[in-house]
Amino acid sequence: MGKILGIDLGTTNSAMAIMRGGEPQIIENAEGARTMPSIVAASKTGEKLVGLIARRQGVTNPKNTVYQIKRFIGHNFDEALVQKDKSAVPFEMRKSTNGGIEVEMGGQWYRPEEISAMILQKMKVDAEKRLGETITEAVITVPAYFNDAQRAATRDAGKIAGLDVKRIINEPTAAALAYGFNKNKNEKIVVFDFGGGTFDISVLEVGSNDGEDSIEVKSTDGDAHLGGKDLDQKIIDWLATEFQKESGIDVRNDPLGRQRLDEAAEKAKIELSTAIDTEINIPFITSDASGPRHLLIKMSRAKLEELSAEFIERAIAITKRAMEASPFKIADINQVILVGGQTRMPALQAAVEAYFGKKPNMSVNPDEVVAIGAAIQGGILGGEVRDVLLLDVIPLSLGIETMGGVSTKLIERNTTIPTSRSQTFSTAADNQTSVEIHITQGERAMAGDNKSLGRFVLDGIPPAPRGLPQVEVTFDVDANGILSVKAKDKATNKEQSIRIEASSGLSDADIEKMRKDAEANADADKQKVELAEARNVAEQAVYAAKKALDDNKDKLPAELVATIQEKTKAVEEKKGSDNAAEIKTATEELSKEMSKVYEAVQKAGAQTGPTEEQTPEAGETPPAEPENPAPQQ
Amino acid sequence: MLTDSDEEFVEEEEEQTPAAVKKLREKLETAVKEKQEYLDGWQRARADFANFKKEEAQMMAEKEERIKADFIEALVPSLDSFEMALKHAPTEELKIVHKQLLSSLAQMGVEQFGKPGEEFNPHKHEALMQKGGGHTIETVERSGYSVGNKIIRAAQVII
Repeated sequence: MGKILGIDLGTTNSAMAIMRGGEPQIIENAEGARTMPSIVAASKTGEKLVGLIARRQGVTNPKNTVYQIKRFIGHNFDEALVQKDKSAVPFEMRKSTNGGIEVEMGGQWYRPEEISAMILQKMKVDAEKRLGETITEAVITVPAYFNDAQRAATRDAGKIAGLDVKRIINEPTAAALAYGFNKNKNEKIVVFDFGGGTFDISVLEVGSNDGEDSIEVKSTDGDAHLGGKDLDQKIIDWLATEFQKESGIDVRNDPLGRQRLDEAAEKAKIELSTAIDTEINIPFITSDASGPRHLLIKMSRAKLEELSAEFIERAIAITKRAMEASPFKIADINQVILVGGQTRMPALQAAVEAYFGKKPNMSVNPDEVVAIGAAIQGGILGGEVRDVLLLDVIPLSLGIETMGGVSTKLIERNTTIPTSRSQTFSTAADNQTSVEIHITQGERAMAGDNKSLGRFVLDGIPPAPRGLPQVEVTFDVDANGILSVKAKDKATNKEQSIRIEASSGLSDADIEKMRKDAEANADADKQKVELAEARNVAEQAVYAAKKALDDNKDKLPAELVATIQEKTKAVEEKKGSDNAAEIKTATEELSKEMSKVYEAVQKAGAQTGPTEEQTPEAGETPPAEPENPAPQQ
Repeated sequence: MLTDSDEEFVEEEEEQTPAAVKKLREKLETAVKEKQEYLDGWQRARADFANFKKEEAQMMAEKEERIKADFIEALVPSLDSFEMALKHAPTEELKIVHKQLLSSLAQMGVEQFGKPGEEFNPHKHEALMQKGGGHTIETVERSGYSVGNKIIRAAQVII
């Protein structure tokens, strides 16, 4: 069975999403956009156009450009609502033989489901191109108020498009699924959907049984002609009026002027979601006898809120109606979800929060949340989303203490589990035959500042120079958050392990405190790590220097030996201090002298000629230090 | 994974009554079915990951194009203003600077398009108004810009 496509088939815009790697993901269409206009057209050359391309030629071809077809799907021609909406659209409509609706496009008559099918088909084709696989199944969302005829017609549209529609689900239900609220048994959820052209409010209850059908719509209300576009128009009218006051020109009469005002209005609206004021700057918007005229108007958030007040009030009044029609009181509501781009407006969010007395949920992109929920439903039906497959993340990093008391992370926080990570370490001293593995949890740079989870010893390591043995440390966290740590000597295959259950026992408050501590101490920790690293490097440099002197004492000039001994002593003295910069300087000076050792040994070798007693180390660079610092003894 | 009831049942297994055997057979069928589901899910997850890794390489290549497109899109209002200025208050200096700017953009693969007389094509043009009955561009109100195959902004025209 292939993947099931989740489709939000909207009145103004549509979007699609699919489960990938256990997560829902929006799929971009062929034009690279995450949403597309729900518009279909037959061009003058007979070409079928869908989406943005159809919208671009709408002005030249209004009678053959069909939009907002969702207002007509599943309806009968004689319905009052149909007659009202029909008068607002430029394309022709007629009554079909069975009393339904047909629209004319490119000289042919189509049922609304056939028009919707063209939109769905483009989404199917674009998704297949993006994913590189055939899509034959889909979940499509519809408004909660859709009746059986409308749902059946939507399903038919899918079928015509070549999609087996596995489920038609309500848009507010999809939004709740996107937030995972379907798991919150007996909770009451309100979905506040303020989109581009329509406003819908739904009150839901999550049932007490398991399963995907646990969400029930308790009441629904809305206004099919209330949306963000109304606010855009109000802003346009205000800008045009302000400009007309000073110039005497109504730029709305010019098509480009109107277009630029529309763009500027939307841009200002978006900017005022985060800024308290903005400047609308449209140079050369028009010209008159005096020359070119420019529009430069400041708009404050307060002004925007004044312009949008009537729409927000209307939406809240409808919300109140929906609540009264439901069996619940405001205090019963557990969650409020915001859907639709217009809900990004702070004034609207504040109005919703004031009414319900709780912060609404808006972390999922409000333009995409319905498609995301449809994809999750598709995942549930396809078996990809099941309780056993719901994955968690670890809240804090897990690591071990390494040379110098540093905390070396093996698994970073927010890593999805179950997971397994391994890293190879070595010994800190010559002939070290055991290593202690001290396991820590937390974000601090030094092990002593993190939480200690446990420690164990791996012994039986064959004596060898420091840095040579290879000890592989493996961290394994299972789906329940239980940590198992194993250490294995690669030479002998001897291993030791420990199982820790406490890694998942921290409260949310503890976790947050540990994270905040790490942030607050970031600079101080960085200095501690630098000091530890400087000491480690110094120690290794001292070791290498002493070894080189021991191995090559006959070959090195006395002067060089004396200098190296002097520099080594300096490093040993500095190593104990707390000044990382001084330790680094002393180490660099020693390394500079050490670089002369190779040349001196080569020279000594050339003078004496090659001999069979020539030691293998002569001319060799010291053994490479393992990439990772050694664990503490 | 054995549940408490499974372990209890295993102890009773020694009785080997027909009922016990039947129950064992049912459990075996369920276990085999679950095993297949889990294996399938595991394989799909591995395949998803492998595919994601392949796509990631593609996404990295596309990222550079995307960043460029975003940058050009941010420049479009200023490019429009240049054109407006040249239309309403042209000066030699403006012309020179505009030409220089377009030349720099061309080096990055940015193409300006839209000319009067061209056949209207909704893949590249957006119609603001229709004056005549034909299908050719009468005036270009705002030029279009593209980078490679991606249309940054369609040319806004009157037909």
